[in-house]
Amino acid sequence: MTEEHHDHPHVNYWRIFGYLCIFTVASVIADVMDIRRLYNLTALAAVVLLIACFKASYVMRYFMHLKFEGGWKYIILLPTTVLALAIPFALASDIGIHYYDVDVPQQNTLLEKEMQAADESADHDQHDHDHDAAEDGGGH
Amino acid sequence: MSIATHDTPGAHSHDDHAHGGHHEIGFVRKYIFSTDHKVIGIQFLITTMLMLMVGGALALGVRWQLAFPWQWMPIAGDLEVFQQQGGIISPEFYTMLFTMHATVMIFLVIIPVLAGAFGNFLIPLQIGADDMAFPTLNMLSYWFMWPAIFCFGISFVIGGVTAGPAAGWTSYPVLSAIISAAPGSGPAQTFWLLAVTFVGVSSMMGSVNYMTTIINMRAPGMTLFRMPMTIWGMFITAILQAFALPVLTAAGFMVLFDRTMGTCFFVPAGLVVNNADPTIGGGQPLLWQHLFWFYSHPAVYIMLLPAMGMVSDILCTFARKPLFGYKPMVYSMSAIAGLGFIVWGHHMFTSGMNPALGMTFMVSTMMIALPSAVKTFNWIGTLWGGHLHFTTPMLNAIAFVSMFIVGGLSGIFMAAVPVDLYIHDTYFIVAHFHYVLFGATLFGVFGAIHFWFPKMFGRMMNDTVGKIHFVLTFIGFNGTFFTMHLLGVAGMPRRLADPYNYPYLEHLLPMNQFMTYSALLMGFAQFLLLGNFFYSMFWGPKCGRNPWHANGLEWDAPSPPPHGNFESIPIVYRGPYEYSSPETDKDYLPQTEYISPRPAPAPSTA
Amino acid sequence: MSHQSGHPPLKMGVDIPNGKLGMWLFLGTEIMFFTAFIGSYIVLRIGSPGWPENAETTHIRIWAGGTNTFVLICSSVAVVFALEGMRNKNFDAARKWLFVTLMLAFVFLGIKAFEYYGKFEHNILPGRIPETDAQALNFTGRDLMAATGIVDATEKLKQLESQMADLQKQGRNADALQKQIEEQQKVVEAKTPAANAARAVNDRIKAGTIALGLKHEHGEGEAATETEHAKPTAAGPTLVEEVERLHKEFPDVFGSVHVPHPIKFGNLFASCYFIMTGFHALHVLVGMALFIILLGLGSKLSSQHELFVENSGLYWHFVDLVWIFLFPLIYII
Repeated sequence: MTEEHHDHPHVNYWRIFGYLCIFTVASVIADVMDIRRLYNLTALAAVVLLIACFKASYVMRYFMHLKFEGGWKYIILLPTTVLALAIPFALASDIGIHYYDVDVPQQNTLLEKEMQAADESADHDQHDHDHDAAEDGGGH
Repeated sequence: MSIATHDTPGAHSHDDHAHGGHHEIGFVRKYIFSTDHKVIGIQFLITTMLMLMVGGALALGVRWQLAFPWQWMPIAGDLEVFQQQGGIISPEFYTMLFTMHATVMIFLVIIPVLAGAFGNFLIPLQIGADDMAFPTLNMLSYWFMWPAIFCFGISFVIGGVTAGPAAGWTSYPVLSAIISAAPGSGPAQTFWLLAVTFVGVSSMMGSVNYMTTIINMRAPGMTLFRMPMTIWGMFITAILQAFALPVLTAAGFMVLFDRTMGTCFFVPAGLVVNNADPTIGGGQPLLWQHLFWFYSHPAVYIMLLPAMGMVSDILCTFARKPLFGYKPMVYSMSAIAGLGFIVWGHHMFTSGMNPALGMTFMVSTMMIALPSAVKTFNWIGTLWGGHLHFTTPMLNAIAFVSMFIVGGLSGIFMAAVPVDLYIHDTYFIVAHFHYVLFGATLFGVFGAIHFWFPKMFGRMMNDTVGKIHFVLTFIGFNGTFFTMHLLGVAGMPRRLADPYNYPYLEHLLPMNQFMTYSALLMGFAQFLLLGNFFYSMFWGPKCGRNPWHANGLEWDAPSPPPHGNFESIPIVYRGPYEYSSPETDKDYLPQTEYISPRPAPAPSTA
Repeated sequence: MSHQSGHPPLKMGVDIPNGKLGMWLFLGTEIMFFTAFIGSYIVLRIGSPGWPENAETTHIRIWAGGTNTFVLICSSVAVVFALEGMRNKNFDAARKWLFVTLMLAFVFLGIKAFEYYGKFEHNILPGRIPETDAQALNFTGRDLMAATGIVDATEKLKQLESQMADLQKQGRNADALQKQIEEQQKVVEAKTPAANAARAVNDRIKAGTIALGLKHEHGEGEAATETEHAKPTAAGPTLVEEVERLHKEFPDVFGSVHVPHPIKFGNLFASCYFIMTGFHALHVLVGMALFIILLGLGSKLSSQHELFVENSGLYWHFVDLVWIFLFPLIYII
């Protein structure tokens, strides 16, 4: 099994290391430049995630030696990548776009009730309104 | 390579082999902490059969309450813990019953019996390997089942009979994420989530092992398209499991932390449940449903594809015909698996999900009908004009096909959003998934047990008892579950301890009682299987290597196969389904039989 | 094993060892595992009406994340050289590089621990971050009461007294218990002044007549919005002032209570942050365990461990890969 390793072309790992460092510095620069304020958050996300993808590809191709592996790497990694991307994309179209209201109506009802109770107690000062409010809230 | 270690030619008995090829191993290493895939498979099988009885008993509890609401429970009512509540099923207990019934059946019976028991036993035998790629990992995957069983057990008893995991097997937040949402479920639900994590670890180990074994350890000549359908089913299942299950494990951790550590992934802000303090933070309950079904929909196919494969093998063997359309079968299985990843939203049509997504999921769900239909027609095509032998495995396999048709057709109803809006969460759904999971998968498993039992123990099961078991189960099954379609269309919701509170459901009581009697019949019929199984294990008539005259590689090994399986490495010359081949006088042609001068004929696709 | 020509080849499948294939498949499952966390974070963040983005409030330090990225890249290089050493049969070099990797892993965890410590210090923990001023008020009131320990002490006293009553009913000697009760009474008495002071503050919180009094130096709309609930009727000393007063009066009791800064959407942020970095750190620990096993072999390290080193390396690169994505997602965006 050991013979196959020697037909790997020699990789200058320090060069790859240099690229990775440069990419890291680049993403820090992107943060310092404040792209968020110059353009918007999406632009920043696009830039730094693109940089991350480049870094990942270097690590996978050279450090993990995928560049020198057979066709099986596609069989394992392509479906995984597709699925891994599918989750955020599919979920973003539901959870992400705020299709429904995340406000809890209960909370508002509760607040209104509490404030109502506070008003009343200021006026009449006779009932244990907290108790009522809590019970009404729980009933929902 | 491990494959080269068993190249000693010639036959020798199990004992010879154990003493000769390997140093002697004690009872514990041989039968308990064994790394032999066959022993692990049988361990899985027996564990799951016991769990089947547990899950069945829970289901009978549910049925009892639905047929005789608030009446004294037979047997269990006498137990001291139930005396305090008058020996009846309390609503909390009922909630726990259906939660645990589903949990036990899915996580401890169906998934482990298919992948764990038959996957383990059959994969190396059918591909001609001496064992799994990682035997120790294999052993661990069995022993990781036990923490899961233990945690599920704790969640039963930790809070007494009125308190258990109460969120259903789907464990939707906020019911599962906020402790006060289900009073008394406290630590029980937490243990439930832990148990699911253990099951996840166990299955992950198993699936990595199966994939590696099937890819890398096939016998010489066993090309991908010469693999039996069982192996294809196991392989695709392993892929589904490997890539879908981690998502559930991760989501399980998230809900566990929501419950115990104050995170708020699935808890909306300001929710007040049961007079507890309003929740803080602001997560999204629907996120759990997405993550959960991203696993659990593929899990439906995890629970079905191996059975489809095993049934294909059984049907061919007893129809004495090649499988009708081998490659279309493989492709349709892959298509089912691929589509299975993009249909999870059909469980969420009524959840308030984005309707545009609902539309997408409806279309992709409908598309699954195509590969499923291909498979069904191919099975029928296999039977057509065959020389049918109605043995017990064959009867169960035919029941699989017919019940799968019923379950599949009712699935198409639900795939349509407008119809689903009406029948969602009614007994129609319950009928549908029981037709698929019990009617299809379990009949497939029953068939597989009878079919491969001779290989497991070297003895035959009693065919008459097997047939009686089959007939009683078949009648009981249809009596119980077909009626559920009618209940569902009548609008009876799931998960209600007492549906008869609602006047529009009162008239359904007699039907429910009929179902309960059927379920009792079905439940007691399983004792026939257990009895037959354990009796035949020791006292059944001995059989040779190939009692069914089948083609697969496993029938080339002795019964039961020794440690290391084959006396010499089998060499494969053809596909597994060459029955009634004109090339030979016998009506079967084993994969290892070399017929000169053709070196390797292409696999037959009829 | 000899085979006649025309027969199929002996080895089926792909031309890599089972261990490596299994490791790659395992990494596939790991990718899906982290996808669930990272994907959830992404969609929760997109779906959330806001997100705490100010480093001053969240204590997310880009230098810490950046340094950790650098440390992991270095360790990835080290583990590659360790594998090269194994392949060239230079086991001393391999051991040296494995050791470097292990040390870098310790550095990574050290920086991580420092970050976590900062979060704990400022109570940036899921479920403990107030998102509005009202919640900050309530949390402080609750913490003040909890700090006095009066509830537990009274509860214990009551228990002892009911035990006493039982014993007296049975007509048994209860002197020892009497002594305990007296001690417990003293404890309760000692706690009472602080408890009364805390109660007074708590009453004002409940009545809504106290303002939080934190200066919103972080501004920018990420800090809490004042709710109409707490603001209007406030008069007199603010909560911050009250707590300072309590600190002075009862330094032993209330020393640990601070008025927390409200962070709008901070709980969701903290949940995502801790689950992603926490599980990543757990994977780092597993990787370290692998290296420790290898280093524990000492001079027994030989060619037969090459596959082990390769697989550990693959696993370690995967840990690095996850961090490569976590760094921009958490620290920059």
